[in-house]
Amino acid sequence: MKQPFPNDQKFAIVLVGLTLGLLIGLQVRTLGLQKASIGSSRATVLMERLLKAQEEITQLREEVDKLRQQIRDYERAMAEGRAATERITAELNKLRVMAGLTKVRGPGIIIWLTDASKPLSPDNPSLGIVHDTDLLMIVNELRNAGAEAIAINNQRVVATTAIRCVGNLITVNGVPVSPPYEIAAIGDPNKLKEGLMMPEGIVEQLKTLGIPINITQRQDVIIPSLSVTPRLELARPIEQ
Amino acid sequence: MWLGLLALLIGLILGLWLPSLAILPVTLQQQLPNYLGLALLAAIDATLGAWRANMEGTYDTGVFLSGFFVNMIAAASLAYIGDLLGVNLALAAVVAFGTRIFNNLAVIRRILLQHWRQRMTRVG
Repeated sequence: MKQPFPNDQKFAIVLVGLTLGLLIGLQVRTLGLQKASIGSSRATVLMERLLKAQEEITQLREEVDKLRQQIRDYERAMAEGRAATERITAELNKLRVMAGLTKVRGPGIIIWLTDASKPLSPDNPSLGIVHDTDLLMIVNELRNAGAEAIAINNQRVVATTAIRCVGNLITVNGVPVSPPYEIAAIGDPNKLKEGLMMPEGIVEQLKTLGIPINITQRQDVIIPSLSVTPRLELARPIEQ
Repeated sequence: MWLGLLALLIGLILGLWLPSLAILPVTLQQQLPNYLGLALLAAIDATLGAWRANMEGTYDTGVFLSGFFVNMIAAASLAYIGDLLGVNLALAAVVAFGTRIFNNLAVIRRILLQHWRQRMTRVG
């Protein structure tokens, strides 16, 4: 036992001693660390929980990313929707004016005319009377001159309006109107007047027949909305 | 003899100091003691076996070193495979090494006792 060791034995002893010491030290230290931080029996439970929590974190991160993307999409859609709503509202207002669904005001003219008190020729008294066709021609002329809204005796004239003779009465929108007639139009007052006063135009013709007619330009003309609701039963829009 | 003790001390210090560096991930640190303990058992067994062989005069450095390291790795691997299979193979290693450690200790004790008695009779 006491004899000196040969070199290879020394090497073996050193190697084994180092390894053994390292193992013991590692083991003692890691076990000590575990016991210091948490009860060793709870360690596995907590480890499982840790792994699960880490998994959950990754899942939740993915979800956050997904939701952020969704928010971006919604925001973009909202911005587009707001612009679209404004466009639609503007369009709707324009169409409501054109369809006569709202009372409107603006610069324009008022044409006043009535039947002649003394017919030009006694054999043909109808010559001195304002006919439905006369009103139609005036309306036509006003439209040609760019009138945006027209009313005859407060009856709004729109695309579906009929002006016709029933017996000895004229009806507008099915409502009888009687002389004196007052035609109101909104548009450029000068253009409207020029259109009506054209040489050999409708006003000149009526004047020749002795019908009193009077045109006044106004900066503020108020035209009421349509008194009846236009019906739409058969016409369907065609998608383009 | 003193060389061996010195090496043991250095190894011990190294082993105590290394974990404080916290190089290993937490999950591995949790499982490490299971395998390390078995490897340690194998190493102690090999060392005691070498002591006994030395006393019986059959010691061989090659056998000792190979047995030391191979048993260590084998024990840890066995435990790992057992974990994979869901069988506690580590228990088998503990029983086998434990039995051998006690056997070797018994033989060493007997030989030491014999030596002591011989010396006593020579002196006496």
